[in-house]
Amino acid sequence: MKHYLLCTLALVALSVAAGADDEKKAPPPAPDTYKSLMADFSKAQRTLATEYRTAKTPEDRQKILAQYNQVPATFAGRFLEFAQANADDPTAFDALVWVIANDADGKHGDKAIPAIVGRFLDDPKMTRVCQQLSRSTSPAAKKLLQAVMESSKNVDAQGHATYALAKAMVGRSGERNEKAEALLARVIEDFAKVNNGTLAKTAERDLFELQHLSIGCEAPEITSEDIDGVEFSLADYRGKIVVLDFWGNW
Amino acid sequence: MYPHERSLVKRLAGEPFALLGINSDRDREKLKEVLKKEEITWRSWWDGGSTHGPIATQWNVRGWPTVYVLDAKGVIRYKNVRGEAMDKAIDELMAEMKDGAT
Repeated sequence: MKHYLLCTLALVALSVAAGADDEKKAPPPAPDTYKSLMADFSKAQRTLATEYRTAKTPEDRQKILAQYNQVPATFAGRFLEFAQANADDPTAFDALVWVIANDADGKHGDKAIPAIVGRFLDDPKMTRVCQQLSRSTSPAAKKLLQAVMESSKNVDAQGHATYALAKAMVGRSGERNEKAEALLARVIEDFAKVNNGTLAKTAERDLFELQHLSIGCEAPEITSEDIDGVEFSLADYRGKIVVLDFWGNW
Repeated sequence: MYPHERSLVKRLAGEPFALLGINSDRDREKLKEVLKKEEITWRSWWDGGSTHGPIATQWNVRGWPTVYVLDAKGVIRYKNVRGEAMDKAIDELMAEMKDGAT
C-alpha cells in the first residue's frame, strides 16, 4: 500500500514538472487553470495523506486509503474537460497525459487517447511521456504506447514506446516471452540511435536475460576470481544444486 | 540475509548443494573483514568492485540481492525466491534429484 502511495505521488510530481515547462511560453488563462487544477488535486491528496497518518484505528486507515486511491479517478474527469476546453493550448497535452497516467479504471483514459493521438502523436514531448508511461499500469497508458509505437513520427518516442511495451509484457514469472523478445529485437534494430544508443543497449541486456536467463535455460558459465583472487567456475559445481546470490554488503 | 544463508549452508552441509555469491562491493579488504565477522563461509566471485561488474552486467542484475536457483544440470529453475520460498525450492530440487537417482 505504501508502494502505491509512492507511485501515485511520483506521477503527480511528474505531471507538475511537465506542466511547468509550458507556463513560460503559453499565455494565461489556460496554464493558470491547469495550475490550479493541479493544486486542487495535490491538496486533496495531501489532506487525505495527513488524515491517514493521524488515523486512530486500522479500520479508519483502510477507509482513508480507499478514499486516497479514488482521488485520481475523481479528478480525471476534470482534467479531461480542461483538455477538451483548451484543445489548442500546450497544457492540454499535459492534462491528457495526466488522465492517461492516473485513470486506473480506464473510462476517462480511453477518451483522452483519441485527443492525444489526433493532436500530439508526433510532439517532441512525447518522448518523455513514453518514458514516464512505462511505469504506469493503466490500460490507457498501454494503448497510447501502442499508438505511438505504430504511427508516431517522433522516432525517439517510438523507440521508448516499443521498449516500454516489451517491458510491460514481461511478468515476474521469469519465463521466456516471444512477444516481448520480438519487441526488444525491434528496439535493437530499428532504434539503435535513440538516447545515443543506450536504449538499444538496455534492450540487448533485457533480451539476453529473456533468452538465456529464463527459467529452463542452462545458466551461462561464470569463470572469474573469488574474493581472495583464486579463479573458479560455475561448471565446477555441476551435479550440485546451486543458489547464485548476487550480493553486496550494503 | 546472512542468518538465513548461514542456516541454509549449515542445514545442507554434506548434501549436493552449494551457495555461491557474486559480490559487487567496492572495497575488497573491507569485504574480507565482513566475511570473517559475519561468518560467511560460502564462496563468492569478486565482480570487479562495482555494481556494473562484468558478471552482474551479463546477468542483467539491477537489484541486490538477486537470486537464481540452478538444478544439478546447471539449468535455471527458480528466480528471486527468498526465505521460505528459497528453502522450498531447494528441497523440491533435492527430492527430484533423489527420485532420479533411484
